[in-house]
Amino acid sequence: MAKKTATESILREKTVKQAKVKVRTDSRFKSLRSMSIISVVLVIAICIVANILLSLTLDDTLTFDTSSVQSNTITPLSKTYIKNLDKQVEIIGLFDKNDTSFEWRDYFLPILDDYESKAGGKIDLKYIDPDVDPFIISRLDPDGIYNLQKYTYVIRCGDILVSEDPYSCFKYDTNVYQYYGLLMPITNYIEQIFTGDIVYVTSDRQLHAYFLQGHDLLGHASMDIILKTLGFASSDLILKGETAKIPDDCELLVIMEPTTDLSLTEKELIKSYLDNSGKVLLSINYDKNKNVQYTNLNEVTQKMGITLESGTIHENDINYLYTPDDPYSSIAVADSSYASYISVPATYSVESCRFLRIEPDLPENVYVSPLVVTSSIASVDMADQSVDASASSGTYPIVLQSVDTSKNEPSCLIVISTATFTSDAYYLDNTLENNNAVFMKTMLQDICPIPNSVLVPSKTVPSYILNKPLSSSSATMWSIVVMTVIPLGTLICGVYIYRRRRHL
Amino acid sequence: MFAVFKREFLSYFRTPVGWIAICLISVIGGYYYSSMLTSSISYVNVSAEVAYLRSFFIILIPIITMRLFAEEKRNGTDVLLYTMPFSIKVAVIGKFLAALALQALMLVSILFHMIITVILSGYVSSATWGAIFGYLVLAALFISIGMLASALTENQIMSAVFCFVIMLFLSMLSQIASSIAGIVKAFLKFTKLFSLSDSTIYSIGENIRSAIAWFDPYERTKCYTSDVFKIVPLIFCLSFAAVFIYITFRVLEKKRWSQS
Repeated sequence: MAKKTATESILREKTVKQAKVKVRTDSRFKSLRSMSIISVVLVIAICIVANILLSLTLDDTLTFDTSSVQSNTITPLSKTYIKNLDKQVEIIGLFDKNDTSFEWRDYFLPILDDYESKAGGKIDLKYIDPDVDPFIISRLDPDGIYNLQKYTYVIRCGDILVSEDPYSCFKYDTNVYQYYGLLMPITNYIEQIFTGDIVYVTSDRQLHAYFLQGHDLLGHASMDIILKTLGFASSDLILKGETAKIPDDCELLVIMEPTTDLSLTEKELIKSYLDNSGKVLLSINYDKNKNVQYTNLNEVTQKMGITLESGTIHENDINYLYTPDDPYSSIAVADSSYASYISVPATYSVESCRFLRIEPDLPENVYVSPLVVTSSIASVDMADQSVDASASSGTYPIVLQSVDTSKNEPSCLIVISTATFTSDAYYLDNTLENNNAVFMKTMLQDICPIPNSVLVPSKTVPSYILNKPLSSSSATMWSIVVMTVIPLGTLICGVYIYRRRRHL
Repeated sequence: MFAVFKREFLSYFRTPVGWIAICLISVIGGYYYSSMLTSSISYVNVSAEVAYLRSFFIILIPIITMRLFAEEKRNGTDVLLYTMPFSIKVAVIGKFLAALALQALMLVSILFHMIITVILSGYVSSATWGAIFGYLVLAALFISIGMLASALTENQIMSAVFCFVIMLFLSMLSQIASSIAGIVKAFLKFTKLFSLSDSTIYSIGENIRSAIAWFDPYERTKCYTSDVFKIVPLIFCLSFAAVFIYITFRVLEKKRWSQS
């Protein structure tokens, strides 16, 4: 009995000892578990906080544009301008930032982020989807003037706003569009357009250019961009009826490729506009309007010492021709005196130039000077096949500038005898960086000086189209290589190695 | 660490897993590439192909990572990990690097495509290298998630499913963020709680959306395919990968002590 009691007490002691050990093990395990949980929570918290701080402070600094033409960053020209902004500008994308159906997002998002980061808080970039916030459009444009749409950008400063369609910020490969119906960007105007918009909305002096309508003007999108980069807003103007008038804020009146003569009302209004220090830009498309008699228009231009004749410039210098058999499509050059006055490109592309004559007896205080001219051996083909004695072989003006200095602020008329400086048709095949566009910007900046205007160059978009067209047989062969040969090669290799080594 | 890395990396090729994964990627990439080659205008952009391949992470990463620890447990070789003369950390990092190396090896077919593009007088931009870099950075993050999933369970299928669910959630994070923001906005508008104005409700919703979408690794690394090199997304992915590696280590440590 005593033996049994002793055994029981030993067993009890053992159990107590085991329990103690168990308790000790559990507490160690518990503390390890607690430590694990705490450390994991701590590590996650540190990681999140560190990443948030890093995103807020160094994200812009630690961003590098690796594209070949720096298409994701703004140029020093824009940078300098936006750094010195004294007004708050908003750039609002009317779509969800993460909306992948907006196919140009990769072009826009990085560079617009760069605008925001380099503006020192002066540019606020937002993305608001009108589907999510249906009132955004009415808030931005209460009167519905700008016809704002989803997938467009709005650039706003106070009450002044501009809307930009992303599709219009590129020049597309016309061949690809023509043959395949695809929009393949080849030139990127994003920075040019957005900086131009920022210049426009922040400009203290709001300049306005009006395009005279009513004479079959096809479109002026290219001129709009050129003017916008100079801080101009563009509008159309119809001068009809008794109440017609040229607005007081009209800084520049553009008469582009008129297919009909001016009406009497238009003539009088434009003449009076020129009397009041107005500035008029007139471009002629001779090819389309050979037989148009510009009687009233000529009255306006003659007031400034220029006559539009019914003849076309015939370039005789073979060095100025693109093809020897087309004397009407040629190279024109900047007039030497004009080129010495202002920095303009040396040569321009011109087509079907109308003969412009400088009046021999200029009105008092009117000075006419050629800005762009032909070679020294060009001639004129008159429309009625006659030979004009006064239009013999020599240098002919392509662009003329007439200035009337009789007023405190001089009036100015620019006459361009060809459409290659202004028409959309020309700029569709040529960039807005080509010599003709640069000339337009420089010349307009000269006649309508605008403080702070910024001329940002466009950027090329790398083309991923194969330089040498691939025949269908080559394409099939390469497709077989990439879809069958390479994967099968890997698989065969795998099977061989697997069979050899699986027992190792 | 190199020993663990070597053992793990070679084990991918002693089993069909590595070969099938490489073959799968080269078939998918090859299909995308050949569709570009045979397109009407022969528009060949390899960076777009790499960006396209990212959408297959959701299948590939679980396949690669499901066996990392789950198989060790199933075979009973996990004890070796706990008794080896180096820390479990080393084993975890070695396995992580092996899986990442396999991911890098999968991109060999992309190199072939780049070479073919150059041969065919195409253009290989710096964005292609950026896209490859972004692909690997994202792969590092997802492998660490897959590795954690593998460490949490003994069943490979369960591990793959767990990893798949997390990756699916991450790939839909932007949409989830938008939905949550929409719900919050609708709730505030409907209940007229705090009598907030429309614009304030919109801002609240947008802030909620941005806060959730901030964690979206796909969106963060998208910049690399657009010719923009950012350090912050790199740090984001690598730091979170480090966090998941650390959690994996803690899970294994816990198992090690609970076994004894």
